[in-house]
Amino acid sequence: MAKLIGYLIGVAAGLAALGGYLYGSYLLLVQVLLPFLLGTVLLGVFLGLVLGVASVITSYWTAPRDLSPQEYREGRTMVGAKDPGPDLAWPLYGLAQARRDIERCWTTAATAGERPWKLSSRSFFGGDWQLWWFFWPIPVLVLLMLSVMSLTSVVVSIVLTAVALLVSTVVTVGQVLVAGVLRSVEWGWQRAVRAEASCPYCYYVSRRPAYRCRSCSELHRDVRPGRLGVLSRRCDCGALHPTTVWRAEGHFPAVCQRCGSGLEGGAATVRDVRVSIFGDVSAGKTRFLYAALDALALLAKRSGLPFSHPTEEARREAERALHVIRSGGDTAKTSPGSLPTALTCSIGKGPSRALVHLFDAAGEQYGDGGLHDSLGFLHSSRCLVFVIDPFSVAAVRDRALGANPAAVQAASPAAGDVEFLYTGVVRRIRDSGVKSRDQRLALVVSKADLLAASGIDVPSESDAIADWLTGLGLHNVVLSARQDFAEVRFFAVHSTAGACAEPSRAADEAIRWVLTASGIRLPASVKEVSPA
Amino acid sequence: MKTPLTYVLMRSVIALLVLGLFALLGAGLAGTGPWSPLAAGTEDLVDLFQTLLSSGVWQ
Repeated sequence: MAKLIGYLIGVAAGLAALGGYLYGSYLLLVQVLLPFLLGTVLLGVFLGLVLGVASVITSYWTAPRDLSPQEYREGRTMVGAKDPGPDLAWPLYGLAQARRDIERCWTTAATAGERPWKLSSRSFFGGDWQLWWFFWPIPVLVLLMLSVMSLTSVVVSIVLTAVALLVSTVVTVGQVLVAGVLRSVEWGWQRAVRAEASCPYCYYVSRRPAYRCRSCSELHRDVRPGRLGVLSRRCDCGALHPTTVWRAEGHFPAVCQRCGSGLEGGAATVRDVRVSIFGDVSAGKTRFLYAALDALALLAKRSGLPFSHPTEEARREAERALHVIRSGGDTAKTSPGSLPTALTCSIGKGPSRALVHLFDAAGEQYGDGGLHDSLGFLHSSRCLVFVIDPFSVAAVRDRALGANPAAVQAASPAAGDVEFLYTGVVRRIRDSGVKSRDQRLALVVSKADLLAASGIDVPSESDAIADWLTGLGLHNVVLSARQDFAEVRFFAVHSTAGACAEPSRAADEAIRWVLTASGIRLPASVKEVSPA
Repeated sequence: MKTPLTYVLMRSVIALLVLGLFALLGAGLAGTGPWSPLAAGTEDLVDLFQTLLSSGVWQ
């Protein structure tokens, strides 16, 4: 009986406790949960806004994380690629940094919002969690508030993402359009005037030179408006550099893309003309070069055209050359041991200005098959000058020896075979992929003054000279030249300064034709221009 | 490493636009600005909630 009573009391107590709990829960529901529901939601919204805005401020103002130029380069360079990737400069904001800032905002909001969730999780679901759930409306309210907070911060981040994408897209589209226009103008100009960057040392020709930052010596290989800046770019070291070859030229030094040697002012901004002079040993190549330089200097002086040498080295070499040719001195033998450095001169002004590179290698190098691949200037020249020593032809030499042995001795005749040298050089140029229609040839018969002294008369007209050479047995050279090149012109020149040469024998005619064929507009010839 | 000025400008513009949007939202909830109709809508929502609480079955 007592046991039954005890059991009943126990049941009653249990029911009372359950009732009390349910009543308590009802009170909590009605008195706590429902009245505070709106406040809880509003509090969650407020905290979410604070969290979201704080994330925006942190990510965009107080502690942004920049994508450095190195990181950008690594991200755009394939592993194992030979291409070094983009230059070390800061990319446009919209192309790389915008995405990183958006991600940073989301990460910051998530990290900050995670803390109260972890705290609540430990309290409500770990340790003494049962006690909390005895007062279940309270955990429900807290979790509801956190949910609303997280949801609100997500909404803030979504709004930020939309705004950031919109602004970045609008700005980037504008930048891309401006960059496209600038690129097109630069490309059009370079095509129109055939502006290129050619290295006088390694003979590499590129659309534009590289530029070396004065602060950190970092190379900027592509200064076109683009991913790294539209009007200007900021180097990794912080220095600001302009884009486009025109503005870059006056800002920092231009260097060769391949060997890093300094390039002349005007590289890739003005017409770039490369003239290669080839021929046998002692054919008179260097003498012709000096005479041509003299003719150019004279022409420029008389016609008022600016004529200069962009580098100190070129200026010294030109002064030496002019001294030799004007004083009638002997020309030193070109060193066969080293590859030639171009003798560069600048002629003209403004848009019609041109850089003329004259290449003259020792004759031995044209006969050396191994060295030939190093003579890259032959391939990139639009106009070639082939110098023929008439005294290397047995018929001429024999006749001259009979008439004036001193003239033959002064001529120091070339010993090689003209046809063999011509064929070897031209075949290798064509083998390298240069098409015949891209090049013109001036075929120059040198030492015309010594021929005259020997009583041998050389015609002055191009076709007549060709016939004269044909009559000497060089018909294969004449015929091949006309087939191998887009245009061929024959000249016979004196090995003297322009002022001393006969008008029809001056190197002026030959170099004028060569430069005109390369697109340079020149005034009338030296003889026709009235002295200043 | 000096952050480019364009980055600072772009970030400022974006952050200001976002803050401006929420400022407009706040002003709208307070009954001013171009989004002032939001205030009336919010009041209606709160009234509905209060009505449900005061006349609901909970009491």
